[in-house]
Amino acid sequence: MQHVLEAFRLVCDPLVLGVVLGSALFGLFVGAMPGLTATMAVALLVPVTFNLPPLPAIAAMVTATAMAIFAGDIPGALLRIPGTPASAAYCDEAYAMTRNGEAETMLGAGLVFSAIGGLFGTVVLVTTAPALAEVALKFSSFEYFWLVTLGLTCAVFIAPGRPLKGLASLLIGLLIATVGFENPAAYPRFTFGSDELMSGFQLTPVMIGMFAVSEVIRYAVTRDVPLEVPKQGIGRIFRGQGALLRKYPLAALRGSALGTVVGALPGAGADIAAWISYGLSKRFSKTPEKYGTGHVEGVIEAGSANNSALSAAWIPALVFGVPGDSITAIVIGVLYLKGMNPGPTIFIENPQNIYAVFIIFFLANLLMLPLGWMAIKAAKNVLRVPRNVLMPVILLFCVVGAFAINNSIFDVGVMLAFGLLAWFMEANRFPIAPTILGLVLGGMLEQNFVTSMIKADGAPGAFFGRPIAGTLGVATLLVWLSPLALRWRRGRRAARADKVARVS
Amino acid sequence: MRLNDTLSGWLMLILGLTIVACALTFPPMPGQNIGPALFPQIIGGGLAFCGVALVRSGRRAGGPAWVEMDDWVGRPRMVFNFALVVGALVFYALAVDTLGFFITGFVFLAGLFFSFGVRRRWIAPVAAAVTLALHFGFYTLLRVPLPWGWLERFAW
Repeated sequence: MQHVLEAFRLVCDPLVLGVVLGSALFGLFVGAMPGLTATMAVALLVPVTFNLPPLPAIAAMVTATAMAIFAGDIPGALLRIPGTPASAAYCDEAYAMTRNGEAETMLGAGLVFSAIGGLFGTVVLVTTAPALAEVALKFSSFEYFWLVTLGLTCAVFIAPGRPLKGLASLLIGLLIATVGFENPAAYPRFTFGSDELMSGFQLTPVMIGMFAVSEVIRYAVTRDVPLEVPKQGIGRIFRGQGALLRKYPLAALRGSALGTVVGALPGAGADIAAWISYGLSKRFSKTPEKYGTGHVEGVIEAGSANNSALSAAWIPALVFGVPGDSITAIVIGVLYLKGMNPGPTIFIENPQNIYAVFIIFFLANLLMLPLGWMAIKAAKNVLRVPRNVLMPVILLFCVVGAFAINNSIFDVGVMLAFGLLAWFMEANRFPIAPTILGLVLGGMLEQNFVTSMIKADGAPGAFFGRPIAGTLGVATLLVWLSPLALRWRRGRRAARADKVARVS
Repeated sequence: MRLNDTLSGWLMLILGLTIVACALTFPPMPGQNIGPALFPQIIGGGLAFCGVALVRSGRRAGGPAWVEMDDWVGRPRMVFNFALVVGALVFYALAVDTLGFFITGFVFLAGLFFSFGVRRRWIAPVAAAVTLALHFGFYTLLRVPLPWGWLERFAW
């Protein structure tokens, strides 16, 4: 209890509250601007929060992302362009509602159910993370090895597109993580004689490149269509939301629960949660035929799913240091920079800090209601900000931000290289999330693997010798074998069908 | 720019094999049977595997073009924009120490504004204002030592 009071005292610091407010406005803007994503918001915040104490730095990221994921709904409803990929799943539905003259209901539902989803995910985070940390305290290198492997496996199989390309993306990330001498043998690998590469690639310029510069490049090569902002004003958005909640409580609950599970799985974040949730909503709905014509049910379900995923992604990130999505992958880097190393001990050594982060989560999701209301009211003017001015400004900001971490021009080059890499990968349908996860977890994977091998004295059986490690290991192997099993079954079925056809 | 899966596959195979070959030169850890080479070898092997699988699936899918250019490549304006974004970053990296942040930042922004079609009379004032604002934010508030270059005499 004493820690909770201490946490409240930490949060009530004017600096923290100011940062929360500022990053909330920043997040709303980034989310509402098509072409700027929530992950980009976090990547751009890293250099700005570099000199801040740990709590305000983390608070900025929590608040900005929660706001950005909600605000992505705004241009979806008004322009049929999702503000962030997390709103893409139900963008057509939202726009159809606007055309039916229900823009107020749609935007209000987006706001209210984003907050509900975010709060749901936060409650799960607050209740499960400390309990999981108790379990994680008993983990040895074997459990961590399997946990990281399972996480990377999920990232490969959940990523959109073919698992083969996901695997290739993951390997590229792991390869990038091997650069430098920070490995168990302390031998400099793939440094090409460069002093800068001795300690490996710095996470911040890489992330700024992959999530911000790549977007600017994408903007530069697509024709800039001026956004046609609708002229009519937006009235009372909260009217009728209570009735919606009474009518669709199950949709809100199912969306939030599914988002929480998907968010907590490594590699899948808010965007995938929204897609799955929208699909499930249509399947379980009493009126599936209304979907696509401007029906609010799917918006409620997917809109709560993406915000709950955002909160739940922090569960594995804080407890095990395994990020639940790209955003928490960046956050983990920041936690290390700030000396708040993620892992179960963070709950014992600095409980007040963790409780303070939890309070920030509640605060951000509650603050979303008034600030989101303001953002919706101001949307027409925000969307009028010309993107041909905005994109160069973001690019210069990226340059200065990448430079600011080490005051080194080398990092600007790293940023450009990774911006091109991410842009190129995306154009060729290689998912980005597995690369980021491989990059963040590569060191941890190798460390735990080598430690385990040394402990086991080369006997692979030891990897399955402890109950939790064994379970995780078997689960991982099953996931890897599943495509082969599926193919075998499909092959058998085809052969049987072939036989039947020949007999008849 | 979109590569045919066969071509991506070949590139990946070559990359994977190169990594394995490089890793063979890494020294072993004394007294241990695993060393710094093991992980890169697994990764290289994995990339080579993905490469072969991509080549196979690319062959099956067919398609004559090795490299398929996006439609923007046909438009000189877009090609120019692409080169400009990359060029602007290279220019910044090369010039900032000599010219200083103010001049480099201003030229950087003005060039991009110009080719993205911002109205002429807005280019100079907006570029100057943003450069000043970023300098204030990072140099004065966050204490990042942005270089002064030619304007060293006026440094504050």
